[in-house]
Amino acid sequence: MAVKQRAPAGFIIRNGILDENPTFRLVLGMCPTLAVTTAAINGLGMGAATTFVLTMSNLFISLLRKQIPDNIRIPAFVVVIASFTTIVQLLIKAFVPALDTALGIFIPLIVVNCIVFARAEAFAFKNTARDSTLDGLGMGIGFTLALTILSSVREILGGGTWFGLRVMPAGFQPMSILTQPPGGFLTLGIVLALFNLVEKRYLRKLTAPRNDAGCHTA
Amino acid sequence: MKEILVIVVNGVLVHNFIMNRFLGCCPFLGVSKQLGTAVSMGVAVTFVMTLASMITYLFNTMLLVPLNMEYLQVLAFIVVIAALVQIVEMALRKVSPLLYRALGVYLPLITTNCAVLGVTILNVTSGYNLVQSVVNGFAGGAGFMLSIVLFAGVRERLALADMPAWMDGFPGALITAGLMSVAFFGFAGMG
Amino acid sequence: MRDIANAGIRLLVISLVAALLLAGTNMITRGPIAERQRDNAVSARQAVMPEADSFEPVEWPELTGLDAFPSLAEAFEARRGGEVVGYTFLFTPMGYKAEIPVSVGITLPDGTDSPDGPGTITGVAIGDISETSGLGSRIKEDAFLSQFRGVGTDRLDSDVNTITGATISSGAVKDAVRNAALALNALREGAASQDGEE
Repeated sequence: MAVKQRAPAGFIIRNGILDENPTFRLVLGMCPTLAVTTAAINGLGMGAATTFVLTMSNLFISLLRKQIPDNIRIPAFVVVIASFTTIVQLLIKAFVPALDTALGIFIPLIVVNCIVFARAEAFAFKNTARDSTLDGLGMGIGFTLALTILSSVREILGGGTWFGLRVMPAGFQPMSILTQPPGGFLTLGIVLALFNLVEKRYLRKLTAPRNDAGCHTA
Repeated sequence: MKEILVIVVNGVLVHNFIMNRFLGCCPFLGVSKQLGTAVSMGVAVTFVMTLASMITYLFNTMLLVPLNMEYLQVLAFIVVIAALVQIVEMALRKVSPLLYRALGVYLPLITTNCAVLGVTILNVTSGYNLVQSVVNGFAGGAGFMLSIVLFAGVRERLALADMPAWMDGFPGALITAGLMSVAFFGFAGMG
Repeated sequence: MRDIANAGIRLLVISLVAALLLAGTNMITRGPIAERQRDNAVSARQAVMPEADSFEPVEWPELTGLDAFPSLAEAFEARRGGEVVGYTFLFTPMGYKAEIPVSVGITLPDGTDSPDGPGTITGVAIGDISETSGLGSRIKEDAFLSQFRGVGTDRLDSDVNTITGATISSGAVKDAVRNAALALNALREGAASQDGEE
């Protein structure tokens, strides 16, 4: 029997935040990334809700992986992920109503967020409960960080505020296009380009985003 | 009749699923490198969105609402959509192998397309009736198709352009989409 | 065959457990969600009609019978010491992105000798919205909403300005207020014709 190697927790979490960051590296889950990042608080809230679903569904799918035959794994994933999505939706509605209004339809749509599905298929179905939970947490934090960065850029430049507080000088003329729909595409495009540029300059290795087809790992 | 027209104009132009609502961005960015595949994807999505709008409406009003189980909406809708896509795929293979060859590979991808689940949830939150829901599904799909086909046309040209390496691929595509979105932004106010 | 049955049963068990879990969550959250909606409604009514001390729902037929107010969600009689001092309406017109909940308070015209005269707006409040931050979201600012306070329903067009850059959102609010004035008239006409029949 081979000795089972346990990957260190820090390594798995780091993977989600940096090496395989769902937004900047894998370019997954574009809909919420583009849609709700109009204000920093929305980005943070969306990230937190997605992290909850990612972690819980990873944990449960990993626990159930020996009970789920291969041929029904896709519907089983769908049921598990949809359940946790509904739970988080109901909880937000009941206890953080302002977030419910701000995020609207994108809370139930966590169920079709490709990150959640991709991690269930690629990681949780093959790994232990501990590792899967950590993977979900890492991916979730990576996603949350990316959304918070994007929404901060959009809110500061597009509205002159950050988390609702005025941070720009009084004379600042907000570029309100950034908080409008086109701003979503433009901001993400520019931030991704900057990422590539920095990486190319300083790390000397330009690795193209790996999953070019977006969601289609599922 | 006027109401139906408003839904169509809204779905295709003003609140375009991609350009304004950001629903269905993954296939929009992923399957838009060639015009031909973009057209096929658009047709498949429109077809499924229309059908899904009808079936989830019936499912919701005949089953979930009478049983007071609206909290199962997300779960039920996604299962219905997944089953629907499966059935369409099987039927298409039997009935029209030609069409199946053109659209078949895109069908499984549609289950996780947020535009489909999105339109079914929007139908409920907007309080649409059966006809309105179906029209909304069709208009949403048509809007999706319009965006992805236009975008693929631009990207085909863009592929020939000499772009700096750090702009190539996703960043360039996103900025192109941003500029397209500015154009669609001009429709705001029509709805 | 056995495999399919086996897989089917497993899937069914997972789905059942999931449904039970959701039913449980629903039981926990149903209370707070309903309570929040009630609280919001009460505080919105109080905000737009500060002088009233109690609110009674208006009998619906007069309003719902008319298709003229498709976005009207609620109508209340505002009372002070048992006497009707005005009405509050909740309209949900379509804004730029989604519906905007607009609460409007209107007092009745002074004196019974001018029953057809214009009412006066006592306040306008906006509920939770998802309009674009920095533009449409400005309809929640007092600079916009305070314009309505104390304005006669016949002077809306001249005394209230929409917000530049948020024409759709602020226009939707203005339309809602205009509709509230019409709804008030419809209510009073309805009441008058009922009196006539008796």
